[in-house]
Amino acid sequence: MKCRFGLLVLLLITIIFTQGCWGSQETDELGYVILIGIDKGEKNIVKVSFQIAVPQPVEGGEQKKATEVVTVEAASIFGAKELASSFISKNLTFVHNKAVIVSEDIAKEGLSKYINPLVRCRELRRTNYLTVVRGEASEFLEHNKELIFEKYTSRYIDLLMNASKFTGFVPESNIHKFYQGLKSPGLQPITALMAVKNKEDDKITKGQDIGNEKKAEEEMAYLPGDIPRKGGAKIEIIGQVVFRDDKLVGFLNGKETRYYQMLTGDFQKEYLLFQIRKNLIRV
Amino acid sequence: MKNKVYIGYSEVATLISIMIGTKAFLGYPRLVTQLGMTAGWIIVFFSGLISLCLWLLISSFLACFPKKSLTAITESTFGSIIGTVLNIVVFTFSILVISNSLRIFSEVVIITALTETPVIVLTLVFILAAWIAAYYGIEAISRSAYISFPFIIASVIAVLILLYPYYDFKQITPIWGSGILSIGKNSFLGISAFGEVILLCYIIHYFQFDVKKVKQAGAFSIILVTIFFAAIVIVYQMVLPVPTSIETLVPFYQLSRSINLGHYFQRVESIFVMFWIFTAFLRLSMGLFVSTIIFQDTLKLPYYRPLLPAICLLVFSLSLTPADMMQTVMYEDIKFNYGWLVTFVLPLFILVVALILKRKEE
Repeated sequence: MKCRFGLLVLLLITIIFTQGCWGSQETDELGYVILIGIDKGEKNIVKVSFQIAVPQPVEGGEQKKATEVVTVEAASIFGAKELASSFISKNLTFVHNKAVIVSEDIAKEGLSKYINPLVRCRELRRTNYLTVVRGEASEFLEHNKELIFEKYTSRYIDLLMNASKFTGFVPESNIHKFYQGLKSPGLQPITALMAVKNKEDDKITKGQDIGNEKKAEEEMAYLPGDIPRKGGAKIEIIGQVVFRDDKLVGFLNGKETRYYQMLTGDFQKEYLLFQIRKNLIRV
Repeated sequence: MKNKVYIGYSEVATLISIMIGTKAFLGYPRLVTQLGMTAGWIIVFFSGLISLCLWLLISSFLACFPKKSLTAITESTFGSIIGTVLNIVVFTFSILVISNSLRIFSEVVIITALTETPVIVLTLVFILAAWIAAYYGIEAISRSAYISFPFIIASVIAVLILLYPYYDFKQITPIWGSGILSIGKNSFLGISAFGEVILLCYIIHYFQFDVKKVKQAGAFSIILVTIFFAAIVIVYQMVLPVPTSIETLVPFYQLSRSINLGHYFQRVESIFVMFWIFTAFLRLSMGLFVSTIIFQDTLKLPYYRPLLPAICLLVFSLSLTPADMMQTVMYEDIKFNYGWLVTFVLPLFILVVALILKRKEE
């Protein structure tokens, strides 16, 4: 009887201690960052933007905005996260983060010092998308709030990146792949390229007549922000960024990205346009 | 008490497989990758082969002393003083190994699941659980191992298969990695990873079946674990190529975190963590049980259970001795490099001397 009582006490202690009470955090205490933007700072080393999911009201009804973007300048990404706690009531967490978006300037300067801490961060997964944006990352995040087909930007980016499997416009671009390229002796890193569509360009202007053959050849040769279109969301993802070690050295447009994938063996399927006897044939 | 224990061949084989295989959830894949680079899996394969040969040799020698544990053979061969000293050396080694494993498992739980929990609480929980299991004896531990074995195997296979989008066979080339000489040397040192099979020699008097079956159980465990170790290391290197794979502290956890099969199938590591923690618990329980049995046989005590509280306290205290996780990992590396001296060479030496003396007597 004594022995059974002792065992019961031991089991109770085990149950109490394995509840994880030390690290418990209530869901409503957390602020879920879904996108991180990294720009060059003006007052400090780095300007970090967090796109945070705004929770729906418990009492029902629709929340006006799904996300909020906050920007903080600090010496590091994690420093910015901690500084953000001084004006955000929620404890920011990266566990549901979907993508890290880096500005062109930061990429030219070198990404190692920003990516290495992220690789070692327990909250962030290596499966997070890593992309470079033409212009400012904070601006991209602001424009990214105005979506049409999805409510959450992270989901929007997720779907856009996945759609690239069928178009070949965008390479597989996540922290895992970038880090692999950075560390492996026979590889150089690459990332996808994004941009915000300029408002002034929101109309299709008549271009120069360069002939059908040339048009067919250059059909997909666009960088993000340059696609002649009207309507849809303001962000565009097409093409890729080429790095030497951790520094940006150039861009590949949509067409070149397809050829790159053909060379690396990542090419899956897509439509290609050819001119045969003055007729445009799509295969 | 000893005669009332009924465990079968399957239970023993699965228990030893789990004892050896638990390393796959710790730093073993990283360690062999560090030593063999892209040829890490070849080191695993050769280490398994050498361990198998040594085990067959040791178990064949053991067959000449039916129903006698290695502790008893040591004492009858070397006399009470030297014999006791040798047995105390083995006991000390096993205690140090368990206490280091206890600390590593606790640290791994902190990394993977309970990030804010103090390490002392986790070591306490583990040692209490191991104490209960060891109190109930080998029968309870081996039955638990037998029941959980299919789930553990399934969880490992699931992780390896679900990572298929990352497979890149180019990452395991050049085949000979760090070079043939380095592979040869490290394959020999790597036999320490299979050292747990020797535990069978210390608890042989608990089994109802003959030594031939014990030999088969050990051989089965080594072969099975070698296959799994090699598969894990290959997948690990295909997913995380060599320069990055050396940086990961808990490789298998990192692999499971990489699983991402579309929007609805990701973040699945928490499902698997449960099985790994149970594996750790089984390993610690069995380690604690065998250490206590070695000590009981050395001191020729009639019961082992009264020794458990003292040994648990000893293991618990020693597990908290390393300053941090890096020091614990360093001790594990030392065990990898020199552990074979106690796990394979010492038993082989004892059995060879015992056999020579036996022949002389005859």
